[in-house]
Amino acid sequence: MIISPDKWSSFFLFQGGRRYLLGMAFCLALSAVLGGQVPHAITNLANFYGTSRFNEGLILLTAIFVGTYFNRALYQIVINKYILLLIQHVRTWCYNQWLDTHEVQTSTKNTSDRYPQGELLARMMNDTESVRELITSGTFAIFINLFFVASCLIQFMTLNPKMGGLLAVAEVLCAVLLIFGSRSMRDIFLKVRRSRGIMSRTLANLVGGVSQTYYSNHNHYALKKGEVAFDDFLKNILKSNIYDASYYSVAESLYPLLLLLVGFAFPYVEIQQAAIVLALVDLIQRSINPIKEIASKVANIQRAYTGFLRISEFLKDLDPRPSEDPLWTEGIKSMKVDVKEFSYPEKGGERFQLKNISFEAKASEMIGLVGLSGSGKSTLLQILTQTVIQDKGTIELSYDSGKTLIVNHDDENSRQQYKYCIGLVSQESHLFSESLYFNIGLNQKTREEFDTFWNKMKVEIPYLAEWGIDVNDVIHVAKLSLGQKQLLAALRSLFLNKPIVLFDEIASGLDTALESALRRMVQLIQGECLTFIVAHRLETIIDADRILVMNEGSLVDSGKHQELLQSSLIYQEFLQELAHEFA
Amino acid sequence: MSKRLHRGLPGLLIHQFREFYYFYLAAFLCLALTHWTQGHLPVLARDLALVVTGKGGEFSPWIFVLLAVGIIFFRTGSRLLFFYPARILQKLLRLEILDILESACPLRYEHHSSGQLFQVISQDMDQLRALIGFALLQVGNIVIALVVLLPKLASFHPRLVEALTPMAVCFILFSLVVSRNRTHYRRSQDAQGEVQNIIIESYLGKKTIKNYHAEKSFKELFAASSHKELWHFYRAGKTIAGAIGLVELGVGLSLVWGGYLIQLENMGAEMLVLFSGFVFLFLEPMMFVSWIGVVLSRSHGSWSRIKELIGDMERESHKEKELKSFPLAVGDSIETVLPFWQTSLKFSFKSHRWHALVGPTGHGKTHLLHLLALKLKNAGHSISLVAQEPYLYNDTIEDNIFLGRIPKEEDLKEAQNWLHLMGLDILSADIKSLLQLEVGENGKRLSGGQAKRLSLVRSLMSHADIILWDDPFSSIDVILEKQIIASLKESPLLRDKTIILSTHRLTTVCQCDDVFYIDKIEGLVEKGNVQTLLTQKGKTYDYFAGQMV
Repeated sequence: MIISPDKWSSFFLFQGGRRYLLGMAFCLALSAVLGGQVPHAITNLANFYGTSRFNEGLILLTAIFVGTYFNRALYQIVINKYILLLIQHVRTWCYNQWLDTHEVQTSTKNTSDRYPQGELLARMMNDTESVRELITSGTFAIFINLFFVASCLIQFMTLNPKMGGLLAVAEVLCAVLLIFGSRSMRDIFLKVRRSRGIMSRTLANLVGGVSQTYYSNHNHYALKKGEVAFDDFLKNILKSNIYDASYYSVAESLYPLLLLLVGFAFPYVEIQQAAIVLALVDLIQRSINPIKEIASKVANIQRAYTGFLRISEFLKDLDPRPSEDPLWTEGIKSMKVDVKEFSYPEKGGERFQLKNISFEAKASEMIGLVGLSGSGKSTLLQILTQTVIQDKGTIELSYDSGKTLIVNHDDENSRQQYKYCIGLVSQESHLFSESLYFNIGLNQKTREEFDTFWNKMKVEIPYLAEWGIDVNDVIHVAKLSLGQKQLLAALRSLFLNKPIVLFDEIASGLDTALESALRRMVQLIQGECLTFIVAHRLETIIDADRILVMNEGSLVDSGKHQELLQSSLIYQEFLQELAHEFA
Repeated sequence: MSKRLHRGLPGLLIHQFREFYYFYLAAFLCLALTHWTQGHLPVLARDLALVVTGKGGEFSPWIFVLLAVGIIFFRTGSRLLFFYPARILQKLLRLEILDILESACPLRYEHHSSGQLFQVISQDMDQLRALIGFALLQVGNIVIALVVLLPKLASFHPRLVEALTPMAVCFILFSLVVSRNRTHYRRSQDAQGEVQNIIIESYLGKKTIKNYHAEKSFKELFAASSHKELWHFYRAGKTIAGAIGLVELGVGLSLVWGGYLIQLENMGAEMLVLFSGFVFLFLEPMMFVSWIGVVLSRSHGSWSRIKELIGDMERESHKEKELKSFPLAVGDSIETVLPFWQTSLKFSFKSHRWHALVGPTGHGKTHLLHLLALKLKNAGHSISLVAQEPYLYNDTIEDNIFLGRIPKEEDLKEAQNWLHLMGLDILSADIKSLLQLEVGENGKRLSGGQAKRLSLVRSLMSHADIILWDDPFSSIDVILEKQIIASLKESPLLRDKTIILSTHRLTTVCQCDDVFYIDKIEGLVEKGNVQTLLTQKGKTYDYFAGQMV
């Protein structure tokens, strides 16, 4: 897996990041200048040993060290800022791409659970975390040290070209060997990362369920599942530690080995002065640390690298298709649904097949949808919301302006355009742990528009005022009743002017105020929209303009309640079953 | 399981040392040998200088090779010996916290979002591991380096030790600066939980987001939250930036001071080589240990978050205490009083019968069921509650049903039978592969109704004595419901069970023995025999009249 250069640059050369990269370059250059002074300063020290100029040498060295300190501090601040922006850039990139990707369920494929929740967390948080570790582990510091030492080495060559050259060759060779050796560590780090991903996925899954499992007999389910994931992670991380530790110590053993090299080389490089020896030993000592750092930090770099690989794999796998702006916001005149055939890929068999469903509906009509479990009404509802895509068949919308939209399974734009017309009121219409204001308007309209709407609604639906919920309060979703959730979802559909609203079973048996609030809500929506109501009970749709009766995947009858009572055997059967208990 | 998490941080460390003492002994031995080996290097470097300048001594190559091998061997050993027990500890701690979480009453941690729980078990535990693995190694490293190398340095000239002062001062300064930096790390960690929560929420609500074309709002929300976290991290890092070069500055200044002393005391130019050798030997452990401040401040935040959570999970919550004061007696019937809005309600559920709680939505049926479940569970009764929106684990159907218990052959048969009765066998081609079917995250691959029915199977197979079902059949059509209830009534599994359920449905109520009508204001309005209450004019009758088509 190789990331092309333009991909790397798209990670690192983001908007607003360049000036920090320039700042880094400046600090690195300054570090090289300071490093270049060291060999001369050191030889001077030895040469002037015993004279009064010795102290001048000490002062020069002090100046170099203090300068290095300040340069280092500046470098670190610049890096910190850069990394902040980098992580923000990568994270929002991932999030945005993911959000723009459509989960697709057709009769041949299902991409809806390719990246489960824990996996998303692992990609967006843990993998970017590895970049942040570059700072916390001090990995970035090695670059500035490397510049310092490289410049030192080059200056030493002016003192003794042969020895300097030999040392340079040896050190570069060592560094190359070490980095080469580190390549074998990449696999194991990738494995560690995968295990970590599995572990987060498992944990997210377990954390979601424990509060319910508490009220049931279980035998340490979370503990057992957790242990499997922890063991897998432990196995891989321990293996990676072995690589890590031995690699580091091999680098550390370079000090005696380089001294050995110097010992062998002396007779051939014409060094007699103690001053040069001092500078040479100082140089070796100075350079061991950065080389060793490469070794110890290479793990962090590898980690960050694999993090980037996983992020880039994630980004590549996503298929973002941002909606076309602006979408048509006008009302619709009518819709025509024609589903020739649909069945689920994994479920197979004849039982889930949907076939020959075709009907028309006009604005401000109310359409009821009934059928027993397995009749296909849920699947039809999902096709109507386009969370499931019919491969064979179309949906057609006629807009007020005369425009026509034909929703085809292979035309993503048409699907988005269509979805934008649909307001869904069901358990699937999610309420977020944000303010009520955010939940209803989703920041799609201005605050003024919202306030006007809300005040109007409070008059129309007294329940909202009685409820005592403040629009700025964060919603505690778990504390809302089903009816309240439906009310909010319906308000959202109305506020955001959805021309078609689908209710998946209106809650009944609510308290009077909420019940009438919901009823009023349906009326308000019905006044402005084409309304569908999927019902398990009849009383919610008895007044519908038309009732569609589903049976065994087909649309078998349609008409008003009274007509169906006369003409539809299935409807009568359905009714009888419902009424059976009290016949 | 010995509770490591109940100790304080020092206690945890001590426990860790005692538990893995053989690792740590060997690790310290390895460290000592590493430094002893390295201690030869400055002397050898000086001798080399003497050889080169013709002042005597001799050059023996083998000693260098030996030293290199020694360094590799002992250094690797010391690191592995420190890392291994820390990793083991991390696993044990994670298991411990999962165990506590799993057996803690959910009310106790209800104010911790799942994002925060995840953060504690995942990231915070990792910070703690870093403290115990990395920090211990580095502290050991510096202490042993000082013990081994200082006497050796002093043996050449006692005043040379004095020259190490700047190094020590700078190190202390560094540690002080970073340790004052905790607040921002803590805030950054808290904020990270929030970011994770937004990801989780976006995941759950993605359909809605896309439906309303609200991608932009959520992108903004995410960016703002992520930026907040990163900004705190940056603030924390900014303080450290000024301190980061301090250790190297200290090393440089020590070199200068040493040079000054060597001239002053007239120790000879070769001593410059030797002294700088020692200073660089100190640099390595100093550099590492200087990060201990960062590790400490991060793990301090993490540790307090872990302890807070553990504390919450093990402390009886206010609601539990309140609930405790209400009576409960279980014999031929369950007699209890439960708090309800401003007042309390007295219930009597007869054993081995079916009870229905009815009443308007939002009046507290779900809450009552949860209170009852909690009360019974805390009193040690075997119960099984199926929530209104049950959670399914991202696992197979079998594991979701048995939740960690090992099913016997007949249990599997029984489960298959119920899956069939609940109409769930259509999910798979044959009944055998049905049990192995993965349901996806929170049962994502099943419809809401299927998930509910699977949870009912789970509840049936739990062999609990008291079964509490919150609106069990709401998403099942009446015909299937009738079949299911008929089978339930015949099943030996339910013969001796007490069943308490909430419902809005006439068809469900009809199948129960007793009914309780609950109203927010009037409390327990009616209770009694189902047939009676459904025929007499009253609240219950009125409530269901609409459904009597």
